Amino acid sequence: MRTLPLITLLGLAACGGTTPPGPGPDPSNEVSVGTGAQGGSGPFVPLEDGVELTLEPGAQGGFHVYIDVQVDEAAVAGMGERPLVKRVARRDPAGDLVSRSERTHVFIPSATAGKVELEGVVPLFLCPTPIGIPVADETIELEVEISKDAETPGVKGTLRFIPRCPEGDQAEFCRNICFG
Amino acid sequence: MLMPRLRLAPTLAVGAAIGALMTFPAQRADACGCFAPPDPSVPVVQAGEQIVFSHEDGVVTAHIQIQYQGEASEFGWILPLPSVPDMELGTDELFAQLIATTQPKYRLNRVFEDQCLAVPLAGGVQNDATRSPDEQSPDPEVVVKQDSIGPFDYAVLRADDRDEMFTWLTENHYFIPGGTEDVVGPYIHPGAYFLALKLRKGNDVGDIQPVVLRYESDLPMIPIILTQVAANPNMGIRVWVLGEYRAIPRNYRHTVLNEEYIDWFNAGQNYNDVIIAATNEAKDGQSFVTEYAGSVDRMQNLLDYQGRFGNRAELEAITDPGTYVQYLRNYGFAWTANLIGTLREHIPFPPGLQGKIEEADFYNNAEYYLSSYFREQNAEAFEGYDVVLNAGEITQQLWERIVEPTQKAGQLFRDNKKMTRMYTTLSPEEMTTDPTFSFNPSLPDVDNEHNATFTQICDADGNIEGSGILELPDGRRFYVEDGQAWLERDRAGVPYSRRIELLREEGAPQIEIDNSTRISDGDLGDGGCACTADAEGKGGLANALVLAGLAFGLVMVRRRR
Repeated sequence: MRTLPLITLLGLAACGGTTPPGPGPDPSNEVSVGTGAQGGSGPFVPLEDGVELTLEPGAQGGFHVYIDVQVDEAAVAGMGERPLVKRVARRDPAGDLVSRSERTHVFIPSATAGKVELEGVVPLFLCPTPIGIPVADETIELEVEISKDAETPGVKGTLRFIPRCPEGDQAEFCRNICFG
Repeated sequence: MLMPRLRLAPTLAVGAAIGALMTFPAQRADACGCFAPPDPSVPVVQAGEQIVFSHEDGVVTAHIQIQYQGEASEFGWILPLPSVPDMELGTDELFAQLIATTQPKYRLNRVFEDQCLAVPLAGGVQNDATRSPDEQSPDPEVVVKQDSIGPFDYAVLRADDRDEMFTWLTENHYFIPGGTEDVVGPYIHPGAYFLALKLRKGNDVGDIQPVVLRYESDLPMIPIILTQVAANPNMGIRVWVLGEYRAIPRNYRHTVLNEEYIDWFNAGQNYNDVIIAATNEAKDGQSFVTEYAGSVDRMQNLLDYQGRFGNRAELEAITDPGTYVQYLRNYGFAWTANLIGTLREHIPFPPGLQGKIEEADFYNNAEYYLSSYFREQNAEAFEGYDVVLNAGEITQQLWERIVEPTQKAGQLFRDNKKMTRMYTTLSPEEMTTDPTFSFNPSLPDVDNEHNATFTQICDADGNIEGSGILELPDGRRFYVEDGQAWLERDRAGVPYSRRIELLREEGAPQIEIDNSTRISDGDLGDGGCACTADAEGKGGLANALVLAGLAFGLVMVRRRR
């Protein structure tokens, strides 16, 4: 299985080593990153760069933001029943890695024709933060890649957002563990 | 993730007892019931909490060894979880094997100057691991799930509302220690759950066995904040994290020990004290030491080797208690408290043996006492003792409690490539942040075996003296009068940690405190070329002169040969 990409690369090299731009959308911006309506549980809601997201308390004493993604059905058509969703979040502009996860997910049809989205929103784990690296009130760049497996390049999308601690009972605890 | 033991054991008593009772197939217990001596190169450390995590595809699997000492009626245990867990029984043997295979070992290899006349035979001072061993109906508002498993009754509760949850726990006789309500706040909110355990009626503290939980979560976490209400000072917390890569403490610091403090002459018996002091040098006392990081290969086929546990149908066909117990022994059943507890349910202690042998001795060596030889020799004691074993029932219990949990534990080491063992100690006031664990693909492995060399000095006539040169694994060399002097050496101001680091999920460690300039270079430096007094002034000029004389003496002895 590992030989296939190698053969492909060799083939490209034999043809001059450069890949002409292919038709279709830019694969690096094919995934829309958003969240779910109704407090995270509803259908996909797109988000725009710079959006502020409230850090939600997790059951084990952590905080996260809820993420959903939407993508063309055709883009994931060959990725099996559970495509791999890789999420990497970095603090901008320092580039500090603050969250990373890889897991497979089921996609379901979106309300928008021709699109699919995650079966449900998923938490993006942010706090407790990596020691010494603040997350709350920082700009976080999240890159999402959907692929068939860990070795196959997939389609990507990004979102820049600013996590904010919630108000109320959890505010102090959030400040304790989300500011590095 | 984890665990407020509602009545926390101050020691590893239960686990230690289990470990002491445990016997492996290759090391069968003798009929005398003696326990194998501990490995002398293994420091004695009592951990308060021991957890094995694995993480795959967004699902955390946690094997949790519950260590409890107290009345069975007061046993209670609660654990916050991000989703409704699948729950199974675990096995203490997983922890015993992990401890044995990844335990930090401090060995001192003694060598002698070439000119020494009489080199003592090995023994007495050599620390070699090979020498040894080591009911009420569910309330739909609160209760999500209520069931029993093994020795436990358990319930999964919604943690939307603290008062409702605690009311339910109290009404249903789940023991809650004072103070829990004050620290449970961060775990109470919509969408959160708690798992609560208590012992089923008829079960005793000795029946407690590990539990295995599977739940969706991005990262393994220990909810240590909850534990503070029942924790002891400097409570040990040991965690093994299995996965694709070496694991790291994501939000705790990481400490590398200054091995100058290790009691090398006694196999690192002061290890736990060194850990306590070293981790307390980190901010807020929150730091882990990596005790081992590397391949899981050493754990493969230890728990679930081929042929272990024999054939269930064969076992179910045996009705003679002695033959049954012998079969268990022959096919690798570990003599744990769990096994003995199950035997006790089905094979009563012969009344005629009371006052002659201890009940524990009987069960520890049941195949001997139930053998036809022993029964014939002690026929009077067995008068009226005609036990016909319900082999189907006991075998079913053994499969549920021991065989299946052990086989699943063994599978962990086929499903994961690496394991990382981390350890820290925390006092209640330091339990303010729940440690979370993650992975870093680029960090190197960490060996659990540490070897120093002690070169003993001889006088001009070749007679061995007690003193010598101790060379630590990092190359530092010290002149040492003897083991006691090494332990009592004046190290005022010398830090216990060599480095305090921040481990990231990628890249090299970020060094927060580098003590390399504050720790001793060693009396003899790292090459033995010069006698250097360290910056903290251990002995000053007088010592330096003595050491210079010593070094000179060594040279002279060598030249005379």
